[in-house]
Amino acid sequence: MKRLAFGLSLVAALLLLVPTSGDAQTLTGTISGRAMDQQGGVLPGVTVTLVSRTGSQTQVTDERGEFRFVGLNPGEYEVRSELQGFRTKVEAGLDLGIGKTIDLRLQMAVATLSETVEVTANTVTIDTTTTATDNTVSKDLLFSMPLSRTNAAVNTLNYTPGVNSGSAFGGNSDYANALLLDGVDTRDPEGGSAWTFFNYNIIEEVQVGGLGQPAEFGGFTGAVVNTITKSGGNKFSSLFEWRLSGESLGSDNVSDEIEEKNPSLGEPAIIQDLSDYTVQLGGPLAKDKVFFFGSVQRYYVKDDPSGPRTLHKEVSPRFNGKVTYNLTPNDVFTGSLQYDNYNQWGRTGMGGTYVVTDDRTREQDSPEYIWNFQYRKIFGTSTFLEAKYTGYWGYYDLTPVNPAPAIYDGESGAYSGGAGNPAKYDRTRNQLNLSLTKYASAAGQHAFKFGMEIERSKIRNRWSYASDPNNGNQPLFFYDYGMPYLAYSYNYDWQGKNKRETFYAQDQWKIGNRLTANLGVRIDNIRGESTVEGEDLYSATPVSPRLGLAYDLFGQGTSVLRAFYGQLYEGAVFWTWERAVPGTSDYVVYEVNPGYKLGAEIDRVSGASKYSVSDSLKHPRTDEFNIAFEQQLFRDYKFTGTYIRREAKNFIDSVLVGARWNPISYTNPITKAPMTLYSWANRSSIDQKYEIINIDGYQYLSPSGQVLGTVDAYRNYDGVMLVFQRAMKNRWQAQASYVWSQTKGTIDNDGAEGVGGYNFETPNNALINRDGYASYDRTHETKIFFGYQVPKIEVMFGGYYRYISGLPWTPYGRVSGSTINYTSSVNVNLEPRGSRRNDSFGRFDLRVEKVFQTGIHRFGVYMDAENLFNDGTPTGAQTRYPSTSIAGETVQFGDPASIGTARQLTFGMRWSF
Amino acid sequence: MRSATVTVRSSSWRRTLPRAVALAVIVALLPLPALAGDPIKPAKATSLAAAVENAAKREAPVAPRAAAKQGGQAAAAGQPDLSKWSFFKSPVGIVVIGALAAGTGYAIYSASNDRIKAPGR
Repeated sequence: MKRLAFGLSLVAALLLLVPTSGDAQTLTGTISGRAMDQQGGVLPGVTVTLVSRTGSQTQVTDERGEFRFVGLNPGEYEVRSELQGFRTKVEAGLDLGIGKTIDLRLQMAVATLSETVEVTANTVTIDTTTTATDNTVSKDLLFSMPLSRTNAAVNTLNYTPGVNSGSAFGGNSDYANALLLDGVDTRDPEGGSAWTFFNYNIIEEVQVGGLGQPAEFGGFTGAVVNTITKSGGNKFSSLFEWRLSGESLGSDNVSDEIEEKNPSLGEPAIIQDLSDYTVQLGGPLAKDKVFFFGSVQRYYVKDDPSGPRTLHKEVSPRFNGKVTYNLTPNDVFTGSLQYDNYNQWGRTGMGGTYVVTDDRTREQDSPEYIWNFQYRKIFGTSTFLEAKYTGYWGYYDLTPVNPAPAIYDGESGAYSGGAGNPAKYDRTRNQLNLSLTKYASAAGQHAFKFGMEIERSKIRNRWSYASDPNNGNQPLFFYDYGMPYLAYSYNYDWQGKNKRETFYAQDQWKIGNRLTANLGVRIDNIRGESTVEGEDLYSATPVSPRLGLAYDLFGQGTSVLRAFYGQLYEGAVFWTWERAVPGTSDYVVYEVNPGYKLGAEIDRVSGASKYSVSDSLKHPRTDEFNIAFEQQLFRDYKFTGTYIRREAKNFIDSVLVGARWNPISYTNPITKAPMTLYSWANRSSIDQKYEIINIDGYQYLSPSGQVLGTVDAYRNYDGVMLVFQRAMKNRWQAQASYVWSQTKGTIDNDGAEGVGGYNFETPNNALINRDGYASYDRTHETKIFFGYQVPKIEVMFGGYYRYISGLPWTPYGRVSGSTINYTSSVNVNLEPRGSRRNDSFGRFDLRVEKVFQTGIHRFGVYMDAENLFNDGTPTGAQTRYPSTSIAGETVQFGDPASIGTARQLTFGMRWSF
Repeated sequence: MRSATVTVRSSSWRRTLPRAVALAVIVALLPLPALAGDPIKPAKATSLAAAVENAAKREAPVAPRAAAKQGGQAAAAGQPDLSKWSFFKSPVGIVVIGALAAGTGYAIYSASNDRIKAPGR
């Protein structure tokens, strides 16, 4: 409360400061500038008109010749400046990105009789005030490039430099990124992965950031993806698109050599049937006042994935509607609603992608509603208020196609039986964002922004082993060892609530003409509540400073040097504390008789109060330092070079309370040298209780109290990123980037590790060969985009090429529970993590589109070729030593376990106006 | 001899890389002011509409927004006025309504017909 009172007092004081010109960094954009004559003298009284698709606004320059339009949606604008006696100046095609500022220097010339209008087309713009390094995927790129349509937000993220497989700048793959829809986070509150799936064609623009972000962005340690959806305007606009593909348009990229090593890869991963259509319409309900936008999509795909599965199918109808109401030019209301259901056949069961066969898959039923309401109030030219409320309700149920229990053979590694684990996952998320932006002057020019966020999310996870009718419908999973051996019974019903209040304050402080300091602080108050008990089990209040400097090197607005230090914290994540809520069944181990009939119960661990959460937990955090240089080259080109250092900290995992361990000798099956494993020394004399803690510094002890090993929990990322961009002009555009990076440590960046994993409950996972390259480390990454429209024949080419280092992998051996006196078998690293690496690979996707333009109508017929050169480099290796069984075939250690999709052609047609 | 494995970090490389990058940046800065864009030269035009049209034609008309810009000009040449609802009474407008209805109708049908209904919901 004290922090809140102080914050409000500060806001009140700052609101009284003299308003002035300045630049602000918000989710909306700003177009500002100064009108001057040719001698550099300021021109007051110039009528400046800003034209957009929803109307126009007019201001008159003040005594300093300055104007500013704030709170603008991203999109294209035109600025027209008029003053009697001077040539009218038009700045056309200004492409305002999300949260960007365009600062114009309008030098007006005296009018002559023959020249009355001066028009300037847009060029590459450099924002010399921000310390954020963003990559914007513009509408041009989205419309003309062969970009993947599935899971739009996540896949768009993967196109940006420094991001691959959902891992951004060393962060956890797919879980550490903030996925914003119209400015509000819509992730799954359980683990932070993508929840809302939306139609690719409703995207207006996508901004991908993550480096140097101001305090208004939080809840991420990877990147931020902000997707802005389309809105209507004063003219009707429409899009009809239909994409088709089939088995005959797929190729085979599996070599005989690969198929011999792993027969389950023999069928190439291709699309067997695709029909994806979109119908959209946007326009005015009342000119300059009310606009609408509606979109309907039906996405249907059937494919043969890599690995033993031959069937995967998805049908997703999606409905979107949005209304924008301009009560006045300074009061804008927006409301939108999406309904979709995501139906998937062939989702994997127990064992994972590489080993699951068709009869071991699950069907997914996943409907959702998403709502978003926004209000923007502009108070003159120096203050504006934004309020956003968004949320969703939905669930996904996974139902095995074969209801029989799963069977795993520890000797061969083979799975059989059914998928093994039906599940139901329910979610509700609501979030309110309020922010106030204020421009002021005091020792320079300030753009203050104050905001708060309130999040309430509900999670319910019901998971169980499959019921076995042969054993009284008990939920069971069978563990064989060449023959029936053990059975495990387990299920849970976990319910929780994430509660978060966030306050932030930031200032973009322009000191003089060249230097800008971007200062901010963000305070998150995060609690995790057990719904059943009504009490908070998790509590953290991280404070996140953000400090950045931007310096216009030569004072011309064409180059900038940036430096940034900030602390980034994860969002509210149920994963961290979900095991501590009630609802966990007893974990029971049975002997198994021939015919898979249960024998005697040999072990039972109570599910009640098995996990507890440490009182002194620190929330997972990543410290970031980066330095960047950006330079405009030859008017239409831009170069950006960035060095990035990120250090992840405050990792959370669980440990066995009071456990003691005996070192035992074990022969490494690869090197034949002795290595040390750890046997649970006091298993029979202590209760099996776990505590969720910050794992750094935790010590594993022998029965005598001797320290056997201390956890040094760390994960560091170093990267150098070079990006060249060429703006769309004279029919072509391009972007080329190269990133060198290294992600190393003892904490992996795969899944929940470091946020809510199980990897430190035994020293056999925690201490042995743990330090090394992270699972999503990519040493080298090259990405090239280009787009070119051939004149006269009006054929457009769009291409995307990437050459990326293969992923690291680690050989492991499976050690039985009896060897180490543990509750289950354990996978032990036989070499330092990431000691081996898959081959690098290059892939090229191409779009060729024939454009027919008739008046207002644009017709396009296109062909997308994904993986045009049919690259067949394996993307994963079989990591279990010496071998494992996949779909009844023995696959040796090191042999290919997965391969990328083969060349696939997709045809599409679209009509837009 | 039995020994426990304790993770150890190596940090000597951390100091070298940032310095190398900083040096490279400083060296690269020197010639760059000369590479920035030339002052923008205005296009000659005798009217505002023609001036805007010249500017638009210099850009590749590949995105829908460019088509919309041209739409405004085409309206002046006798094409349908996209700012009025009367557009939907035109033949093109009727086709638009028909395509929207067909696409929406089938999607609504699919939402029910293709739905996987999980047990217990």
